[in-house]
Amino acid sequence: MSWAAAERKVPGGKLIRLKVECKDGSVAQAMIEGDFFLYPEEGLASLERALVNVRPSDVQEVTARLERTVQAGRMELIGFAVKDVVELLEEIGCSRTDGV
Amino acid sequence: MFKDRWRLIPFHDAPAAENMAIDEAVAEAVSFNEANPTIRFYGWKPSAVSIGCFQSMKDEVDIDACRELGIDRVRRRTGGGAVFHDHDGEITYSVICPERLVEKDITASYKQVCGWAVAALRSLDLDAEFSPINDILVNGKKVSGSAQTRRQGIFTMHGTILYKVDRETMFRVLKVGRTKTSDKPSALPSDRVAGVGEISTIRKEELLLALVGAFIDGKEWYLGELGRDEEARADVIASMRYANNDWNLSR
Repeated sequence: MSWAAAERKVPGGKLIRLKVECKDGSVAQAMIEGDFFLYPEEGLASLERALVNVRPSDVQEVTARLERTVQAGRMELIGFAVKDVVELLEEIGCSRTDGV
Repeated sequence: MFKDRWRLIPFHDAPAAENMAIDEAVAEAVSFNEANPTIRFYGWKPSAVSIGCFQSMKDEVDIDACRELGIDRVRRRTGGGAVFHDHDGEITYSVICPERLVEKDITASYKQVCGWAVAALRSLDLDAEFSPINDILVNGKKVSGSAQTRRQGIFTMHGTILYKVDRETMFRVLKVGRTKTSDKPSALPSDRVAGVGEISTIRKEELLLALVGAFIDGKEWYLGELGRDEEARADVIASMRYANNDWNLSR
């Protein structure tokens, strides 16, 4: 397994970089990094955990998990949105990094 | 109300870990009602790089270059981006108070506190404007960035006002990727920032005086210093967190 990354500068927002490690076509570990703001800050770890075991192509499931996590943690995302994480994960995919 | 009197701590220099630990120790003291809302101005000695709490130190900072140049590294507890804090080239402020004293909405509170810095710059005849989310521009160039956190009902916002930009060192120690500026019209990051001393003949002391004046304007305030408990707590916080690689290199 190895880490793969994708990043984007959200227009009018901040830079977000997603790093994932894949196993069997799903996310084994994820890190969300960048110069964005997120309140409360501890929420980031739960967003990262929410990505574990999802298939990047399952956009609906990824979106639902992240949105549930944001709602449960009463998080406020500034400079990026759930959509950016979902699209970066889709861009990375897990098939091409799997087993590398 | 006595507790709404602001304590103004005058400008002082400190190492990176101490600066960040003082902000946190003051926030704790304010949350325990043991300190008044606080505005402090400070510098970084030695010069330092601070990164946002969600950034990767290795991705953002050339650690070897920092070591070679004697530049400190610290992870802030606020979000936002990597900043090179040149000892000679900037003034940093912190505003630490109960949340009820600032706008509830995060974006609005950035505008509110940046507004004090904008007022200072305008009092010096500079054409300053707030640029969402957290920047201040003069003549279209960034002269200030800021970051805030809210914990246990306490608002902490710190920001820097650039005076002179040591571009050579800044871009040696910061790894500025192309993605970060992909939505900006100017390709070169060094062209997007400017120091007050570069676009005017204003002296650094004048800038500091204007900032102090604008930050306390309309507030009940007194000149104060850190309490002994705050100093002691800041020492503990510095050694546990901001001077500790477990924290600084955690991403």
